[in-house]
This record gives sequence, C-alpha cells and structure tokens, in this order.
Amino acid sequence: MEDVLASICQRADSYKFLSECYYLPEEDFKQKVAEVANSNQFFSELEACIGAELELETLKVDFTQLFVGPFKLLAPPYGSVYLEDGQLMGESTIDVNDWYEKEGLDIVISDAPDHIAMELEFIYCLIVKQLEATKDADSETIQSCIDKQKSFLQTHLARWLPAFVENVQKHAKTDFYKKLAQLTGVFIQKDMDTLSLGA
Amino acid sequence: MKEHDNKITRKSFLKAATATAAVAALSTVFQPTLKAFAQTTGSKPKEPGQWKSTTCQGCTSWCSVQVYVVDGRAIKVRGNPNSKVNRGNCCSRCHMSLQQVYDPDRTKTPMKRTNPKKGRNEDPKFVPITWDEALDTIADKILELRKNKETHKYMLMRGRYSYMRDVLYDRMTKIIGSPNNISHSAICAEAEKFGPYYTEGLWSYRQYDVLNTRYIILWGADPLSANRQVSYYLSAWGDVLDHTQVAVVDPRFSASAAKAGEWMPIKPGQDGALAVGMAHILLTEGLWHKEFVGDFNDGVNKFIPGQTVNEEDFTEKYTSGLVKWWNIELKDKTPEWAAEKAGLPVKQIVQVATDFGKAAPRAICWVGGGPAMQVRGGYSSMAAHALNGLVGSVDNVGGTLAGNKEYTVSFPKPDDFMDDIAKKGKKHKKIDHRGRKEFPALKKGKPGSAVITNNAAEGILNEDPNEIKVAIAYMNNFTFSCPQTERWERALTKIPFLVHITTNASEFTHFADIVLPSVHHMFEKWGYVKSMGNGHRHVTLLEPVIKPVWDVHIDETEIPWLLAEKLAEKGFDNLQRHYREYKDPETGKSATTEKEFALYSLKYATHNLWDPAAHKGGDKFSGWEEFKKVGVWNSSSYPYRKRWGKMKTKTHKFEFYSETLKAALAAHAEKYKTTVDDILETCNYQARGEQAFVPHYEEPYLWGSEKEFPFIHVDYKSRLNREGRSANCPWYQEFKDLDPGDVAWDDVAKLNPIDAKKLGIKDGDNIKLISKTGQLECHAKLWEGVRPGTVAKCYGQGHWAYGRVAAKEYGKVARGGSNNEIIPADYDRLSGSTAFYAVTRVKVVKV
Repeated sequence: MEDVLASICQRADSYKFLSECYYLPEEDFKQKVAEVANSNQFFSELEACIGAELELETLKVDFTQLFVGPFKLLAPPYGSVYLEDGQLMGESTIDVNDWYEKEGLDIVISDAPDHIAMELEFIYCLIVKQLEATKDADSETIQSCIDKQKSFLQTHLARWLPAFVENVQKHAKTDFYKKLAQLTGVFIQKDMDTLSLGA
Repeated sequence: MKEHDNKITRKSFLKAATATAAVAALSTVFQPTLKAFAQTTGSKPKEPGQWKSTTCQGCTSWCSVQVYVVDGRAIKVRGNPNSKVNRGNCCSRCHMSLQQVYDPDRTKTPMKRTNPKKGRNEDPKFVPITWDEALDTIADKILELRKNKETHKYMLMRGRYSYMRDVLYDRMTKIIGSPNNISHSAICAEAEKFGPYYTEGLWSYRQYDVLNTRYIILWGADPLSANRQVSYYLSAWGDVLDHTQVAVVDPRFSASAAKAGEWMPIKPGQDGALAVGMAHILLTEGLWHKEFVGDFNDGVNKFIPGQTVNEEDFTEKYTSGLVKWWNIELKDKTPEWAAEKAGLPVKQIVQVATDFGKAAPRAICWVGGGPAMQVRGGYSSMAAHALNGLVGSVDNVGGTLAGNKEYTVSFPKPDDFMDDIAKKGKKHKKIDHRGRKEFPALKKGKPGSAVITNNAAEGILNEDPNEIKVAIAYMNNFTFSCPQTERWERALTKIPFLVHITTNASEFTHFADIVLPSVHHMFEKWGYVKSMGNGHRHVTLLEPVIKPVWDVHIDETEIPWLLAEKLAEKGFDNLQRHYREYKDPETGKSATTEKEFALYSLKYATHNLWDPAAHKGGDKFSGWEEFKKVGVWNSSSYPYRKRWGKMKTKTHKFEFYSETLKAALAAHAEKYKTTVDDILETCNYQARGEQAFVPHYEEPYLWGSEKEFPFIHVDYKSRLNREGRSANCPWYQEFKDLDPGDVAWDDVAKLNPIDAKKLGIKDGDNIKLISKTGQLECHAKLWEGVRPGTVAKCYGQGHWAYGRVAAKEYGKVARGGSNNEIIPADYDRLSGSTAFYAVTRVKVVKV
C-alpha cells in the first residue's frame, strides 16, 4: 500500500513540478528546481542546467521569448495552436475547459485553458483524486481517475506535446528549457505507457 | 499569467491534499496547492450563444457589427442589422478580427525591456512584470518631469482611436503639462479634407448619395476595397451600377475599376490637370448646374477657350468666384492640354466630363486620398472637389454630403486641474513644427492647427524645439506606417523612456521600455465612434463582448485611470480628481475603479443618445441598457440642400475663388511678416498671386530624377489591411490575392509586361525597388493593370515584427518590403499631410 501511494505521490509531484516550470521563474526557482532534481532521479539532469553562473534574468528572458512573446511566440504553450491552425481559443480549447469544469475546477489565472501549465496541473489534480481514492480503497473512483488521465492525455496534451517540445528545443537559448522540454516529452510518454499498463 | 485572488476557493483542495500527506507525502518543494485552478461550488449552466453588438475598427468605415458569443468566446461576426449606415453588412476585414483577438502572438502581460541598448538590431529582451510595477515606473518618470518643471518633454502618440481618445490623448497630456499630443491624422488623409474645406467649409470626409446618383468619378479612391463605409458601398454597388456610370481615375486597376465603365489610368500626380481640364469642359460645354451655380445674365455661354470673361456678366447663386476661377486658371486648360499632362486620351476625358456634366446634379466626384496625399496635393483635392460645385451635387440628392447631426458630448474641461507647472509646460511649441513658416498646416482655416505626424520624428531627433524624455504611444506603429521609417527608428532609439500600449508587439514596440497589453477594440473595449453613409450618421458602441484571454486593459480609459491612481498615490492627484468628474449620468456617481471609469466615461459622452430625458434627435432608447444591447444610434435622414448659402466659408457660398483660403494664407504670411507668395515658395508650391486662391494645377513633385529612377511608385491600400494591423492573420496572407494583381503569401511589385520585358524581368523574380531615400526587396508580378512607367505595390507587407506570420523572422527577415522604406518623408505643407502618392521615383533591379 505504502509503495502504491508513494508511486502515485511521485507522479503527482512530477506533474506539479512540470506545471510550475511553465510559469515565469521567480526568485527561488533555481533552488526549488535543484531540490527536485536531487530528490527525483528522473529530473536529476536539470541540476546541471541551472548552475550558479546562470542568471535568473537569463532564464526569464528565455522563458518569455519561448512562452510569452511578444513579437513571435517561439514555442506557443497552447494546445490549440498545434491542434487547430495556429489560433487560440478553438474548439479544442473549449473541450479542455469542459474537462476542467466537469472536475469542478475554475480557472483563476488569466490565460487560455489549454496552456501547458494548466493541462499539467489538471492531471496533477486527477492524480490527487486518485490518491484519495486509493487511500479509501475506492476502486471504482481509482479506475475512473486513471481513465480520465489517459483520456485527457490522449485527447489533448500528448497529442501536441511532441511539436511543442521540438519548438522549445529548437528555439531555447538556455540548456534549462531545452532539457526541461525534453524531460517533459519523455515523462509524458513514459507516463502514458505506465497508465496503459495499469489499465 | 496573472493569478486572481482565490484563497478561499483553494481551501477544499488543500484539505484533501494534506489529508493524504500522513500516508505518503506529496513533495513540499512546490506546495500541494492549486495554482491555475480553484474548486467550484457547483457546475455552471451553459449559456446559449448570443449575438452581441460592438464596432469593427478594421478600417475607417467603423461598421456597427455583432459578434456571436458562446461561453465568453467569439465564434463569428456579422454587420449589426440595427445600423442605418452599414445596414447589417460587414466586410472581409471584420471576419479577420477573429484571428486578431485570438492571435497567440498578442501582448499578454505588461513587460519591461532588460536590454538597455536600443536599435533595430538590438533584442529588447522583454520580461513580464506586473501592472503595478509597470504603472509605478511610468508614474515615477512623469513625476520626475513635473519635479524638474520640464513636462513639455512628455509626449503622447496616438494611432487609431475611438472617441474616448481625449481621456488619454488630450486631458492627460494637458494635466501633466505638455503640448505634445501627436495624432496619426496627417498620415491618414487630411489633405482629402483640404479641398472640401477651402471650397465649402467642410473639414471632413464626405458621404456619397450613391443610391440616387447617376455618375460617379472615383479619384484615387477604391470604395469596394478601402476608403470609408466599405461594407455599405459593397452592398449598394450592385444597385448603383444599375443606374450609374462609374469612371475610375487611378494609375492602377483597382477593385472598383474592375467594376467600372471607364478606367482612366492617369499618370501619377496629374489629377489636378485632369480636374481643371474637366472643369474647362463643363464650362465651355455649358454643363454647370444653373440652379446651384447661376448663369450668364443674358443666358449666352461666354466660357470660350482662351478668352477672359467679365465678372459682371455672370450672376452666381450659391457659389462664389466662378468667373475669377475661369479667368485665373481654367480658360487655357483645354482637353488637349489636360490629355497631354494626364497621359489619357482626349476623347476619354471629354466623354467622361460631358457625361458627368449631363448627369448634374446627380454626379459625384469622389475624391479619395490618392490625388490629395501628394506634395502639393491640397490643390488637387480642391480642384477635383470643385467639380462637385460646378455640377451642384454638393449637399444635394445624388451628390456629396456632409455628416448628419449627432449629439455626443465632450469630456469635462481640464483647465481647473492644470496647475502652474502644467500651464507653463503646455505653452511650449509642439514637437511636429506645425505653424512654422514651412508648415502652415491650415486645418479649418487656422494656421498651425493641423498635426504633421511624420515630422515629429525630426523634432525628436533634433531636439527641436526640445528633447522628448518620456513618451507614451498607443494603437500606432509609426516605425512602419510613416514614410522613411528609419527616421522613426532613430527617433525612438533616442527617447530615454518609451511606453507602448498595443495588442501586438510591432516595429514600434521593439524600441519600447515598457509594453502594456491593450484590449482588442472590437471584442474587449468600451468606447464609441461616429461614422456616416447611406444618408445617415451612426454612433456605434465598442463593447467588451468576450472575456479577454489575458490580463489586458483598455488603452483609452482604464490605463489612464490606473495611471491617475498611481500618480495620486505618489502625491499628484489632479488627473484622478479630473477623471472623477466623468460621472455616471444615471447615478451621479464618480468612478472608483478603472472598470467603472471605462463605463461611466462612455455613458457620459453618449448621454444624449440613450437617456430619453436628454433626447435631442435620431433614434430614441428607453435607457442605457437598451442602447447597449442595440449597440448603435442612428441620426435622422439627411437634410438635403440645407447648407446651400450657409456654408462655413467666408462667403457662406461654395467658393471657386477661395476667400477662405486667401484669409488663411494671409494669416500665416502675416505671422512671418511676409507675402503669401513667399510662403508658397517656402512650402514648395508653384502658384503665385491669385492662382493660390483657386483650385488649380500644380506639377507633381517627385523625389529622384527620371533618368536615374525611371518608374513612379504607386502606393495603395489592401482590402484586407486592418489599417496595417492584420499582417499577422493567416487569412490575410492566404487571401492576399483578393487585391487585384496580388499573390497569396507574397509581397509583389506589379510591373506592366511592356516594362518588364525591357528589363528582362519575369513573374516571381526577386527584385529591388530603389528610391532616393531607401530600398525594399520583393517579388515581381507582371500585370497589365498598371500603367507603363509605374510600379504598383500594395501597402501592408514588409513587417519585420508583429508576429510569426507577419514577419518571416522577427527582427531579421521581413515578409516582403514595406513601401514606407522607399517613400521619402515629404508633405503637402498647407494641410500638413504626409505624401504617399506621386512622390517616389524608383528604379527596379533584378536581384
């Protein structure tokens, strides 16, 4: 039981961590990344990308050009850009929003619902629900949470992530965002495999 | 991504997360809280889709439109059926707005520059900051100017606007204490207003009574593409062609020419020659409209080519100076003379002029920017418009009309809120040099009253009359839209602190220190605009019909309010106290937040339209809510011939000999203790003596010799240009071939095949257009729709910023070349207008 819970927690943590990485880096960001890299083998390579010589401002500038713009958004972090002709707020975006609403979640930040940080956090939410259900040994809810994660990833995030990762790797100026994108891609792929096995 | 305040709603999730922590711990590095979400208390019912009223400002038509909104998202658009001006129509530009509002390249958050170096090749390295930090920085910069009593070094630049403009453009600039609010008007079509003003006292664009007319001559206007009230004219044109002959004067084959009976591919800049030639024909053939103009006392036409006429022999009715005009200018301007100048067949000129005259008074000379926005173009504008006077179509059925009366009101006066610093600051001279000897800028008869937008770059660069230290600009892109753009690049580099309020980061934003993300006017803004067509005026509301994706604010109201709050916090509360005067007419309350201010100021300005108790005319509403829903107020229909004999000219008549211009020029000359002739010489006009006061021909003034630069560049506007703001819309590129001769996803210069053959140029070749002041690179298109000896190229492409579609590679590779890279900065100095047409000679070189 402990092992099962621990592994669910680790998945949740990983999603939460990845989600946080797609916000503008704040003062303690490098330190937090280092802590996660130390405690989670999968993210260990990130530590080398955030050495002492890397200025927070360099990270901020890179983050901004990749994910915020202006001028040309180098790696649009929005699902619809990849799934629907390069524009925002398409049908796929509304579908994502419907997913959130069905789970009783309201967006409280100003951005499009299919922003990568939100989609990652959404899966995190589903995993936390799964964690609760596991604790309560509620097998029906466990299965439904797993099914939802699989289905959401298949319908949304996993469909556009490879193109997104490619964009980041092509345009990022810092090793950190290149590595982050790569690990995000690998992580989601592996997680999809895990979910399929678990089903 | 800005976080909302959601502490309470996060609680329940926290509980769940921490409860599990006892069993197996979630990491504490990133707190197990929700960041993007809050848990809802219950599911929200889905609202059915709804058509919501607003306004399209994709061009200067300003159509009242509606947006179909589902769950806060814009799905589709249509014309607002409640408008009597655009009558439920909208055009292709309106549809493109959907790609603008949901453009992933939009500015999403306030940003600051982290690279202190500025220049075309410097990456600004913007990073997001909060609204608070952005406003704090701007307020400090303004207060520093005030502390040092140098508020005149503050500047406000305005591009497109709604009529909420004065909140930011006028009142804020005055209360801070600067004379330097510089609008874009002079790069629009001000010279087009010069002709109507100095003949009939109307400093305005006109509306055209096309459903009642019988003949239309389009002078460098392409109403099926651009100009004004495009959607109305598009919808009416089928009927128009049933009963109306149309002739198009334009060196290139425009969309309107494609539907016209006559295309007159005139030599660029010779519009004045054609106009006075036509006037000569109308008079010698006795085709003037006697009811409006009057007649010879004995009824015998004495307008005989080459012969002067006694003024006493002719009695005018609603016009003034006809015989003077004939004697000073027209008597020798024979069709043969005009044909030679204009490069058109004598027969065509005579035919068009005669048919036009026979249709009088239902005959329209539709004078667009083409003939007017040229060096010396003010006089071409006058000459072409004067034909409307001859045929009596001015203010008449089937003619050219002014705007109907409307009843919006100005915002409260700023005077009581201007302290000594502000009053002294405002007294300084303006940065654009208007009113100097070489820039008469005679708007509405008053010297030095028109803006000279493009010359502000010189003022900034030369610190003449002073340096500019702090500048705010909104909805503009002078580094792209003003000729000789590199001057603006240098000027903006020189301004130590520049703020740009914009939806997309443009070539202008590239030089900014702070970027503020603006709402999209059509979907996210409170405002109003006025526009006319179909014999009506409408006042149409801009309304926030969707939930913005990002944390953006309204450029003209919310941002100045927020800045006023910030200034007040720091001890300067004059602006905030002033804005509190814009009270909600329904409750009498002052605004307390930026959102309230945006709404109250709009309700204030439009009060007479929606409040039944304040009703003065036109549509009547039960109150604000109904007005908001309907989205547009319509005037009553046009009162024809009301202005006959009551025109706002010196004589109150339609002036063929402009006493009004004579007085304006004399006033300017008096200012410099010199003669009108000296002023004309200084300002690069050819007229001397009495000729200056009548519509007359001036040779076009072109930059570069014919020998070195054998072609004349023809600049024009795309039917898809949302005033240059649509290049980042994929549809813009995909459908670029809607402009006759153009190519999708490309930027082409169109050459006549005869010329191309001589140069050995084929379709698709990479070519350079080189002028005396710049060069651009694009593709060649061989096309019969351009007059040999000219190269036509549509304005709109050539962005090196603005987004992933607009530019091939931001900062490095433009998509094609911008016309303003080759057009020299020159002016029609009497109106202050920038010259775009018939000013640039180019050579064409294969790359």
